[in-house]
Amino acid sequence: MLIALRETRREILRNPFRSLLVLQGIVWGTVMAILPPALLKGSRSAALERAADLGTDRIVILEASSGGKPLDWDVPALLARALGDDLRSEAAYAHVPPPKGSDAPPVILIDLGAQAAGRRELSEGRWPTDDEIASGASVAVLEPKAAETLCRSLGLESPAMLVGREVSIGDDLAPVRVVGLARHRREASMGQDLLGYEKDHPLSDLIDDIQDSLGIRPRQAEWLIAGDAILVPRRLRPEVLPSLVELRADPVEAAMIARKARDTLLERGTDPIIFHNPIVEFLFGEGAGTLEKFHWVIFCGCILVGSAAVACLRILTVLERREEIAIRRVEGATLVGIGAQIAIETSAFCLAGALAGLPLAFLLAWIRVELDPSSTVAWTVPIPEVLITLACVVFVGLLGGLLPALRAASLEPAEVLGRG
Amino acid sequence: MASYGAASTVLSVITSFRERLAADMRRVGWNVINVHPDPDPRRFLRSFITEPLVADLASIAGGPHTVASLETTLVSLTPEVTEGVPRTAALAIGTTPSWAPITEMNLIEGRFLEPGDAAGCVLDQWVARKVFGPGPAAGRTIYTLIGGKATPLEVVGVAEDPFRIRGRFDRDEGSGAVRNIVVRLMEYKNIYVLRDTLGAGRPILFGLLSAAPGVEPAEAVKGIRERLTEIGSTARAWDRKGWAQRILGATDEVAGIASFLWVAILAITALMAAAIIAIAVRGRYREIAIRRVEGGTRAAILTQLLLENAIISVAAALPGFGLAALAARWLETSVLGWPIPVRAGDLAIILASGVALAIVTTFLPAHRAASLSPIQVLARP
Repeated sequence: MLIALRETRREILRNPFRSLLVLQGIVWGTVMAILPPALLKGSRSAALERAADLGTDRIVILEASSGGKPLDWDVPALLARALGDDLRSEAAYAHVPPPKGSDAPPVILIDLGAQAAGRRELSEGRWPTDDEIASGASVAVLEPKAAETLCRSLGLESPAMLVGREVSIGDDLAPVRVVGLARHRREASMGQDLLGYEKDHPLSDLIDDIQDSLGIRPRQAEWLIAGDAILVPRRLRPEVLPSLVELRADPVEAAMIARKARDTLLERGTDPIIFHNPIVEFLFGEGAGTLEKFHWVIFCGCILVGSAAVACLRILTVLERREEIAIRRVEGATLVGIGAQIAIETSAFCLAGALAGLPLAFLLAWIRVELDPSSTVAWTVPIPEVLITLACVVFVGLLGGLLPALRAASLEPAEVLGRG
Repeated sequence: MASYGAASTVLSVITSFRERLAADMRRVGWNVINVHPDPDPRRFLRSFITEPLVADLASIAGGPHTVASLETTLVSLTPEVTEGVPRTAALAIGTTPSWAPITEMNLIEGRFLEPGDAAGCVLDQWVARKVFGPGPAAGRTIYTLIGGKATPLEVVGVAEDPFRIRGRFDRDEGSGAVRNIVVRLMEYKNIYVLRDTLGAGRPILFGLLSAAPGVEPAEAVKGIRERLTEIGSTARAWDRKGWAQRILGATDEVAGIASFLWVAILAITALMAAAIIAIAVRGRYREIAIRRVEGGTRAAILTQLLLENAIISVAAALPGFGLAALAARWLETSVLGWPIPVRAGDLAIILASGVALAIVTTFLPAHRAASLSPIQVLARP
C-alpha cells in the first residue's frame, strides 16, 4: 500500500500538468457531486437558521384591485383559525402616509401580534400592552428613522429622550405618548428588501426587473421594513382598514401556507396577492429534490469517463515501467502483489483528482453565492457528500485499475529483461 | 464516445428548447395590444381604465377591442370542499365574446362564449386538464369560487394552450402563484366568463386591442402611450409581439451561454485525450523512426498521426451520437416533455468541433514525434 502511494505521488509530481489533464474527468465529476449540495445545503441552512434576518419565514398578503371584499382587522384571526399550528404569528397593518409636502413620519396602525409577526425588537422603553392596543390608547413606538427625524425636529440630544414624550401623528388626532423605540434591523438584514434580496448588489437592478416582469416584487409593501414610521394602535383610527397582513411560518412550509392562506381568503371573497421568498419555495420543493438526484447521475457519468481515461494512462504507464515490474517479480513479488499495487496506484491517482476537485467546487460555490443578490443563497461544506464522493472515486479507481493491473501481472520477467 | 453523446444531447436540448419556445410564442397573438392599470399601487389611482377609454385607444390601433375584469378563483368538480378533493387555482376573466377573435384563440373543444352564456365558461387547456384530466371537458359542470361563493358553470369550450413547452416542468400550483393578476393573465391558466358572471360593478382591469391590417402593433402602442400621457393616465400599454420577441431574444442569449456547456465537455475531453495521446505517441517513437528511415517525410508522419486521431475521434462520435439519440428520447418522454429531435446539423457541428479539437490536441505530440532524429531514437537501447 505504502509503495503504491509513494509511486503515485512520484508520478504526479513528475508530470503534474499531464496528471492534471488526465484527471479532468475526475476533477469535474467531483465538482458536479459537491457543488449542488454545497449550495442547496448552505442555502437551506441559511433559510432555516437565519429566517428572521432573511425573511424566509415571512408571507406578505396584499389586496388585489379586482374589486373583491377588502382585507379587515379580523383577517389575521381568520387565518390563524384556518391554518392552525402551521402559523407562527400573524398581524395586520395599515400604512398611513403623511400628507403631501409634509416631512412628518408616516404612521403604521398596528394590532395585536404586530411585535411577533414583525420580529420587532426594542432599543428603549417597552412595547404597548395588549390592553393599550385593544383599547386604542394614545401610545406609540417609534421606528429608528422616525425617532431620528423627531429627535432632530425637537432638538433633542438623543432619540432615547423621546421615550415618555408626546408626539403628533396628524392634525386631526390627539398626540401620542412614545413608550418605546424600535431597534434598527439587525446588521445581517440591513440593505435587504422584504424577500432577502440585497438592494446594493450589482445585479439587483436585473433582479428587480425580473421580479417586476413576473409580478413577484412586493413594491407596495416596502414600507413594512422601511423603519421610518410611528407605530400606533389601530383603534386610534378605527375607520382605516388594513392594507397588509404579515404572517410568519416555518420556511419549509411557507409556500404551502401561502396557498392555504390564498384559498381561505378566496373563500372569504377577498382576492389576495401573496408574496413569499421564491428561493425558499425552490429549496424545499420538488425542483431541488430532482436536482439532487440528477447531479449524482452526472457525477457517475463524469467519474466513469474520468476513470476510463486514467485507466488508459495507467496502461501506458505500465508499459513504461515494465522493466521495474519485471525486476520486482524477480525479487519475489507475487502476481497479486503487483496487480494490487497498480490497482491501488490507479485508485490513489483518481483520489488525487477528487481532492483537486473539492477546492474547485467550493470556489465555484463561493462565486455563485457572490453573484446572487439574494442573501438566502449560501454555501457550506457538505460533509456526507464529500465522503461519499471520495469513497466512490476510490472504488471506481480500484475497478479502473484492474485493467492496467492485469496488464502488469501478465508481463513475463524473463521476456522483458531478456530484451536488453 | 461519452463526451460526444453528452455534448450532442446538450446541444439537441438547447436547439429544441429554442425552436419550441419560438413556435409557442407565435401563438400568443402577435397583433394584440394589452392595456391595463399600473400594478404599482402608488400610481394605480391615476391609471384606471374604462370602456370608453379603451374604445378611444382602439381608434389609434384601428382594430376591434374588448375589456375584462379579473378575479382569482378556485375551481372544483363539487360545490362543497371536501378533504382530499383538490381545487385548481385559476384566473377568472370576465369579458365579452370578442375576446376570442381578438386574441386569435384556438379552441380545441366546443366554442367561445356567446351573449347569454351567463352560466357558461371557457377553460384554458391547462385548467381543463387539471380539473378533468385527459378526458373531454365541454358540456361538463365546474364550480368556481366567485366572490367567495361556489358558482356552477357549464364548460362550453376549451382553448388550446399556446405554451406547449410547459411539458413536465409545470408544477401543480402554477397558476396558484400568488402574485400580480395582470401578469398571471399571460400564463394561459384562465377561465373565461362573461363580465356579468363575475358580478356587476367589477372594475375593468384589462383592455384588449387589435391592430388593424397594415398597422404595426409596436407603432400603435407608441400612439396609445402618447394618448395616455396626454390625458394624464399612468395605465400601461404593450404589444404582445414585442413582448414575445423580447423573451425570445433573452432565450437566445441564455442559449448562447448554455452552448458553452457542450463546448466545455468536448474541450475537457480533448485535454484528457491530449495527455494520453502524448504518452501513446512517445511509445511509438521507434516505429516512427523506422518509418522515417524507410523514407517517410516529417509531413507524412505528422499527417498520419493527425489522421489516426481524427479517425479515432470520428469512430468515437458514431456510437456517441447513438447514445445522444437514446438520451434525447429519454429526456423527451421522462423529463422535459417536449420533442427533442437529434438533428443532423447539430451532430455535424459537434463532430466538426470534436475532430478539430482532436487534431489541435494531437498536433503538438505528433509534431514533436515527427521532428525527432531517427538515428537518435533507434540508437537508444
